[in-house]
Amino acid sequence: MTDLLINGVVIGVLIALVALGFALTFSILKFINFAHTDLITVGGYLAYSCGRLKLSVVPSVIVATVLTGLLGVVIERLAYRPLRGQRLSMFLSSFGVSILLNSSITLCFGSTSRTLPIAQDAVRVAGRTLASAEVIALCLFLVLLPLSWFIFRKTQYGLAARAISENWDGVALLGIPCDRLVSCVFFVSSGLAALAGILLGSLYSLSPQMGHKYGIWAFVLVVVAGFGSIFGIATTGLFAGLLITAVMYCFGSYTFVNAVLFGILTIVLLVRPDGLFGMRLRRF
Amino acid sequence: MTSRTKVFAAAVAVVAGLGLLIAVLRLGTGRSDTVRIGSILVLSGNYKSQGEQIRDGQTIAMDEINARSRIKLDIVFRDSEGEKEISLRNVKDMQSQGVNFIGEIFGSTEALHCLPFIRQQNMLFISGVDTGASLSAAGGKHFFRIMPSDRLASQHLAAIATARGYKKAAIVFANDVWGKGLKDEMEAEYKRLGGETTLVLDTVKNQDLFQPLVARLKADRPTVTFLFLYARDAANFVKEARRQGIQTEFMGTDNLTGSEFADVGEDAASGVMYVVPGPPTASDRRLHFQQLYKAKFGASSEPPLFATHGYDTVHVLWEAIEASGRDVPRVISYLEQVHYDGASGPIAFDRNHELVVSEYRLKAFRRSGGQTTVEDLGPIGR
Repeated sequence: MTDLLINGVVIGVLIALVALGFALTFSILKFINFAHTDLITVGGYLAYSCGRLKLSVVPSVIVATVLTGLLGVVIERLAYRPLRGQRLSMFLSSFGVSILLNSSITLCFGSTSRTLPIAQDAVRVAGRTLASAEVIALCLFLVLLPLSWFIFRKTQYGLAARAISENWDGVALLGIPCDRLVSCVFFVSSGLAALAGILLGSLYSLSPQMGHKYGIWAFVLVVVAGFGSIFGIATTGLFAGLLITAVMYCFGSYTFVNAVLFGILTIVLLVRPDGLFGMRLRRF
Repeated sequence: MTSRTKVFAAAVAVVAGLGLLIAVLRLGTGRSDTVRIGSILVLSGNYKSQGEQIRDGQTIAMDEINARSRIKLDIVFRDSEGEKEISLRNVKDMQSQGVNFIGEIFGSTEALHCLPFIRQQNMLFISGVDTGASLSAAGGKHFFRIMPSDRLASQHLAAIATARGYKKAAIVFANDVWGKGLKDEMEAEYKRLGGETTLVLDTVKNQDLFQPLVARLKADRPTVTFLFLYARDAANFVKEARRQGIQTEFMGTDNLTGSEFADVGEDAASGVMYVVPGPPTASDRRLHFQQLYKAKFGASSEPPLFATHGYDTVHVLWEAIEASGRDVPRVISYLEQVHYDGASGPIAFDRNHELVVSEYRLKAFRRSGGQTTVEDLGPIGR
């Protein structure tokens, strides 16, 4: 049972990492960046490519994370910035970017699943055998989520980022470089997606569609938690991971997972349209 | 009429006359000298290795036929991407181009989706790999197969499992036409032979999250676990099971025969067993095919099962076409009576157009020094 709990927590952590990236971009630009799901995949495949180029594990992870972060910045600059303020157009543009990224990955690597040989060693923790990737995921969760909360709630950068979402022109008049701030947020959120992709690829396998499944789960999580709460995302993420594990264990079936998750999403939206911890959705 | 117009009119008349002559000559021979057969395989994605195996076998058969026959064979290969709608679109496209014979539609789900159209258009489909139990009823007289149905496979699998003393089983299956059909047949047959299925776990194709299902399996402690998963998924499932230290025997059917299970499963594949139809010794035809396969692909090992079945599918269909022309009803009648000595064994069909099987054998993967081999554990008595 302990293994099952650990497994649920790890899944929850990974979904929360992806969801955090979703929430960061939404909190500033007020649109769902659907291409975020494919940045998960890009991160995984970049780490895979680094491995093929004989880079060791740590440089591979750093290079893949930074490159994916930069890709996120480029995407924002080319595909979203010209459409800024038109949320529907930005959303549709993110679909286009998603298809472009997915097709590019398939063209470059084929559609066959691949193994990402990173952090696959077993480690003993409190008498339990865990994959290194599981331990790394838990550590990242414990570091990154409080750090994100601190940056966005307690620093001037975070204050400026939140202010941009309320009154872009007003913040710009104060001399704050809004575009650069948005680029920073995209860099961070894309980097988080890359880290999640690397860990997912290591724990399971890499495939061009891998990001979509976890991306959609993360999207459900963000909506259920509410878009504005980092700790809400963390808490709901852990709950979602445990729920997915419990559903699969109890029903002996993968088929029920999406039914249960989307059922909960529907109920939450009916009862609390703003999410369990979030700011008011209807304003957006 | 000017002289220039006269020359132009004469030229048009000559061209038209030549065209008419060619058309009459073609009508005189009755048809072109090429027969086209459609083959819709998975040639991309996670399961392309199995599609490529079938294509390899069929290509060898085509080359062999074209080397000796005046009428040429052209196999039109299409990629279904493992999607039933793409498969159907390909069948319709081929039918519109005059292709009436389908030499493969890879995957029972895809085949089942295409069979109503095939029946409606009076086409003929012969499969070397599709095992879904419901295909025969769906295809009627327009469907033959040289791979036994899941019903037969599950009977032999249940027989060998109970004979080995495995009386408590778990079934892990892909929740689609093929997997569910096999699961249903297996549950019924295993129960009939005195076994008890205590756990049934379902998955979807290309699933990668197995830990909770494996934990459930671990808690249930079955003596045997039947794997009705696609090769890659089965390999990942077994890997996770080995990681969690589960003590159970794993058994499957032809789903584990491709290279993918052994390649992905690596050390975890060792000890996994499966049942397949086939003769104990190699026939002359089989040895001949082995030589051709090795010559063409430079392979050091035996040709995989799907390549052998692809080879046989083309040959048995070609024999029927050669003997009875290109008229679909006559080809069907011929196949109903055929006795063909194939590379995979003797081929004859019962009244449901199912393969008459003489023997099933139990095989097991063995891993040593980083290499995976297959050990023949002998015939299965029923």
